[in-house]
Amino acid sequence: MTGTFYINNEEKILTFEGGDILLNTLRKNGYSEVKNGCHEGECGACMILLDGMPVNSCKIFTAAVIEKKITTVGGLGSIHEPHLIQKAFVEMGAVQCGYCTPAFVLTTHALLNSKPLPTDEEIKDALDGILCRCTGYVKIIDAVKLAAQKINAHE
Amino acid sequence: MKNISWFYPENTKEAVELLQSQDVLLHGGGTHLSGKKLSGYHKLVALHKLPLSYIIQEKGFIRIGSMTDYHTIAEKLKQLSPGHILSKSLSRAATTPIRNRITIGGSLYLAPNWSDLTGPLLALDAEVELEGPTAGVYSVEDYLVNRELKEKTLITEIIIPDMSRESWYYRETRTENDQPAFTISILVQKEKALINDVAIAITGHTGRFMRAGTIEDRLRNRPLGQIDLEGIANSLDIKFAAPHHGSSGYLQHTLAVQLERGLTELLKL
Repeated sequence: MTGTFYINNEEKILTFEGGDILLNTLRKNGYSEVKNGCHEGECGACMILLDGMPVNSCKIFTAAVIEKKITTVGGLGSIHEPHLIQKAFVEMGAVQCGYCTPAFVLTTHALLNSKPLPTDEEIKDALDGILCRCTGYVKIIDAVKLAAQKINAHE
Repeated sequence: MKNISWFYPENTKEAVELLQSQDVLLHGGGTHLSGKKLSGYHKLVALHKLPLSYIIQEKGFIRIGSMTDYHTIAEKLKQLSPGHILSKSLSRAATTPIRNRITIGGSLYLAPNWSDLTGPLLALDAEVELEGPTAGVYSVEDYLVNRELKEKTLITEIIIPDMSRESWYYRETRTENDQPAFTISILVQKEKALINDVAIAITGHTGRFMRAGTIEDRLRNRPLGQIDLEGIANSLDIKFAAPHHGSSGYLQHTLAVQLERGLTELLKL
């Protein structure tokens, strides 16, 4: 089957099978920044924003989100033009192996859209669906706070 | 994976018609369905185009469309009814990305033993509206015990009495994101030093769910000064069969401690 999706603000027509999972469809179509982790909805590496909300793409049928707006981390920034959130993660040393970083960046983006100055608890709640085995989370939480400052100052 | 045909009804009538054929599964958007669970099914009906994502507070009720996700419910209820037990329970279920997908209708249909939805709905005396062969409004308890009500029907709405009650919710887990071994939901309505009403629901045990009627009767219409909570859980006949969470005896004891703790906190004893 085919379906139209709005991925990173571009209209895309993708071909897939009825039982395909969105994570696989995205990766097959070049969106390798959506990481393949546990396939169980536990690790969060496959995070995307679906209509602006963080979701696990490994637990979503592609056919169930036809015509939806999908954002991957590639839609926020690039290595040459990083988003303020990505800059904050680099500055705070919140990236080590980097496998979970797209998920944290996207989730931070969604959080700061709804809560521009989140408390520590709100940050922890928002990030509760992503596992990082390198950093111990402290620097990630600091990075979210720095990102909030940067975005608020920028606006 | 075998091929599956998808259907996208735009109103409940279409959805119910599709549901009457063979080998059809409804897909609300949650995370329950996976490849292996689709064996024997060839048609999936996606419900996301139905106009069933809403929360309305009117005429003494809160009405929640069955396609409303956990995150939306938890956030909206925080505004509509601060301290609402459903906001407390659903904001702690699973994780943020999962809460953004789980729908209240799908969750009630599945009603797993670890549900953070079932207990609060039972304590709230919630009702469920169905479309299909057994269309109508039923108590959540009836829906959960009567398999006929689930056959070929579509949940369209959850209806909750909009009453001002203090609430307490507990989920027994070892880590925050665990599925709970059991849950306790308590609602209390007090007037001065008198308990007007109390509702207690316990889920996760071998009986799946229950209202703790004997304890409710012992507390209802009693002055706070006459309440003695010691051993209050002794009247409960509850067993557990989830050894990965601990033995039945351990969970029974934990349940008793937490129940007493919750009541103490709510009644300010």
